[in-house]
Amino acid sequence: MSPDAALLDLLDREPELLVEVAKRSQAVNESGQDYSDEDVAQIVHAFGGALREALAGTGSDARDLLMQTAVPAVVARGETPATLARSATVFGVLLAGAVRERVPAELTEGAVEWLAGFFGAWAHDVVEAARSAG
Amino acid sequence: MTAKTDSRFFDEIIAASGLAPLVAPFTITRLLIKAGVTPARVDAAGLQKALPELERGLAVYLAPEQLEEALARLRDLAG
Repeated sequence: MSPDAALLDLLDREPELLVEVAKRSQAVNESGQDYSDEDVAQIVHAFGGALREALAGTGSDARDLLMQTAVPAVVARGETPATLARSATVFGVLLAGAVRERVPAELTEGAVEWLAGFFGAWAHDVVEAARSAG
Repeated sequence: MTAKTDSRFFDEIIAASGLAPLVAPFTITRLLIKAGVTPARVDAAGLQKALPELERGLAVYLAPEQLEEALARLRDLAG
């Protein structure tokens, strides 16, 4: 099994993992913005789709829609490129920590490196989308 | 079928979409434009035309059971 396949398998086995990480991220992040449970659930669902399509190499439809709709929505709520970069960093570090405990030991490094690349590109694109929206 | 072409029909689409208020206006606007429908002038025919694009977009944000309920409401609205 490859590291990206191990990550896909993990998302299938633990569908609530991203929601749990999002809740921990909110507690750490203290962005000052209030988001409802419904807001968080739908954005996390969409993010999970973006993560899955990147892992599976099946395109970027979910990612593109998030950048075009959720990013302008949270910017309208008061987020800035800087606060969104912070949120992406917090989420990525917490998810990498959770992944280290959950994938086979021989795949851990590869999985974390994959996530580092993904979240680096994600933070970059979120900041660019937020700048365009602002 | 009554032809509704004012912003109230757009608001009805928003309400029927099942999307959270945070993302709904941005998402529905984007999906209508992608379908070639002007949001400010959307009517039942425009909604009908946009249904495939709305289905693809709503599937990104909604869980499967929520998606089915939203699509049923949108099809009703489209007549």
